[in-house]
Amino acid sequence: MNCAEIKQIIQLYMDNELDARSTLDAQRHLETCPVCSRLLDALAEQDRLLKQAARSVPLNSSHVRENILGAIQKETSKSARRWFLLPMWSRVVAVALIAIVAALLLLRMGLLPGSNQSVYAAVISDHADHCSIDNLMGAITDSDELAKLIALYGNMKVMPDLSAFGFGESRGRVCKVDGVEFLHLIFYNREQQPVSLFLRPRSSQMIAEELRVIHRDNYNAVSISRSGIELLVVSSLDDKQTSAIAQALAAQLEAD
Amino acid sequence: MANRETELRLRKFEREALAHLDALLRAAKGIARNSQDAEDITQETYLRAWKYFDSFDAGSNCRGWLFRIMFNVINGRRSKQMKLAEMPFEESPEHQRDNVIAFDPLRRIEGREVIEAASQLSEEHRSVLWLVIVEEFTYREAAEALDVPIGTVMSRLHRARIELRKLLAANRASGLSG
Repeated sequence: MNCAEIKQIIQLYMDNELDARSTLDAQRHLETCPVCSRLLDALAEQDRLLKQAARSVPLNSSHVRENILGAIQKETSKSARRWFLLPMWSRVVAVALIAIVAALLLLRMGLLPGSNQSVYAAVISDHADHCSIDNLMGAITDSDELAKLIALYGNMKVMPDLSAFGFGESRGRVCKVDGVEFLHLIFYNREQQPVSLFLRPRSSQMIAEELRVIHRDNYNAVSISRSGIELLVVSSLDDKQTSAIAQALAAQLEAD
Repeated sequence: MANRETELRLRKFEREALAHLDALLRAAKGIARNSQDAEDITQETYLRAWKYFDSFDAGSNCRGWLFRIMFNVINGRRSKQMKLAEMPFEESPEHQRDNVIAFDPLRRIEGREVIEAASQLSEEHRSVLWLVIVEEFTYREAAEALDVPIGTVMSRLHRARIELRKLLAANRASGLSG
């Protein structure tokens, strides 16, 4: 590095803005060049003087701090007063709106009655436990018996049909989910992927009326409560396909 | 305080933001040159910071955030054509006594002279000098606070240093001849 180059970067050197390599190059030159070294000293001294002088200016910061905290206090109580100065009707409307938004959020998060999270967890666990071929031993395959159960639990005269989605005939079993009895129908497609349909007459507020999708442990559980029936579909298909199957089943229930 | 939430917010504000009060007040005094204006700027900065404190990303650079607000306040005041400083820099007798510094082996220069010379610089130059030299901001931090590119910080700083040196020399010369 020569003198001309040092002059170009001397400010960056003073302000520690050079990379390590350039800093070393500059240092080497400054150690051997008295002219550049004096220039650096003069500039650095000016900075030092300014910094020292500026930092020794007396500050009455405690008084400023008190003023700031006082102004904040005033501002905060003014905001609180503003609320109480509003007409009663507007406060009621505001509270109602907040309550509605909170209820919608809770409903969406599945935290209100009618959307019992433990039911979804239980059906997913039941699906995972009972849909392997080994565990299907003892499942009901007799069509007459299945028809009776479907009439009893689903209030349907015909068997639910998922052939449009590539799923064949179902097998059934009666199970208890979260302490409540459901008819569990299991359908398989050609790839041996199972889809579970849990069905029972609507008798509680366990399942929300709208379609709801819950994703848990790589499974999707979709619930619909319609026409006096509580219906849950569980599969490892994506949520769109699982929702489409649940909606098709709900439509079959309504049509029946 | 109205409730516990506000109380907790205030405690956090004191811990994270008011910890930089001295740095902001010092810079405001250096830039505004007038104590009352400096205090007003600092107070306005903190009130704005309090208002938007929820949007401040905890753990990030609070000092930089406050300085950015402060320069917004200063720019806002300037745009309202409120002159920041008409009065000369105020200095206590204690400051004058303690701040005698050797500037040159042959001469002695007082801190007051440096501050006076700096107060003659443009506001742009004073701002960048205060940030980089007094508050030891990196160029990037200074650029963020001033909302200008790093290249602008570098060129302003270069010009400000040269200008300050000229002013010190000129002031000293006029002082000696006077």
